Amino acid sequence: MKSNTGTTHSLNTFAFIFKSNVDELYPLVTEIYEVIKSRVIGDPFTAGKCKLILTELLTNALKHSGVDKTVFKVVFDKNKLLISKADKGKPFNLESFKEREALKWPLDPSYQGEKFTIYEDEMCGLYAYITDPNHVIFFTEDHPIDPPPRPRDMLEHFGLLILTKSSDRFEYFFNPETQTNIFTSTINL
Amino acid sequence: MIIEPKEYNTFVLADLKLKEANLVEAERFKSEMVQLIDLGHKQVIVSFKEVAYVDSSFLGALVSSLKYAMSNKADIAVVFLNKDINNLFKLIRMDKVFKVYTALPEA
Repeated sequence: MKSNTGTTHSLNTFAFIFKSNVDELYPLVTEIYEVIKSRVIGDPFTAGKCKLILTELLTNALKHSGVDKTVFKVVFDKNKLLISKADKGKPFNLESFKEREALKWPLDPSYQGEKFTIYEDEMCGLYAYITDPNHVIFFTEDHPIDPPPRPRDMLEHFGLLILTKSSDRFEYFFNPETQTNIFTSTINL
Repeated sequence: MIIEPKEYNTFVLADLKLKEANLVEAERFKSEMVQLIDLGHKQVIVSFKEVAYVDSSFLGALVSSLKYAMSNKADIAVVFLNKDINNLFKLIRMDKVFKVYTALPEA
């Protein structure tokens, strides 16, 4: 089924196009959220996480993709919900806060199996597990907060952290043939 | 102005006049917070009463404002977070960094 806004939907898959217009961000988050909410009815905790994921994925598209078209897909697959964001913009900047240079995609095969530190502060760390040259899975580790954290040392980038913590699995694929970037958030229902 | 300040005896309330606290407003928010702290206020409580959602960029600006406040021996707290924003604070442990009020403290 194709609607007049350019979105396409089938029974378990819903697709939406975001044109990197800031005024469309929150209305589109709300539109996609309503689709999800109708399926996860009675589970406000999961619905809340989905809203955070949508907000951050669309914000990420606006801030980092550098293109004016991003495709968002919502797929209900048995007991899982997949929310993905695909664009042909700049590949994900896999860099550590300690290093200055980002890794190039496809990644060098020698990185395979490595835990790459994206950032770390007193409260937590955000890491990417490199499964193959075109795929990473993000994960976080909370650190004990005792004594209380010193905000002076805190990092100020929370987008990936929110996405990773809200998802049961959050990952990035780079398709070198089509030069497509795909972030996928999986939520167990 | 996206912040409407209201002075109490022991703190200044920075009332956010925003529904969407997002990347578009983040820089402006930071600069208005810096102005408030430069006026000499030592305790600023940011009210999210009218805010429906907060994104990571705005949270970054809030943390950045806190760093500026601390370097000026001031502090920032927050009040009136809706359920979604409160859950977000807990998720990334911002509730350990900012004092989260559910009602205004006695002035």
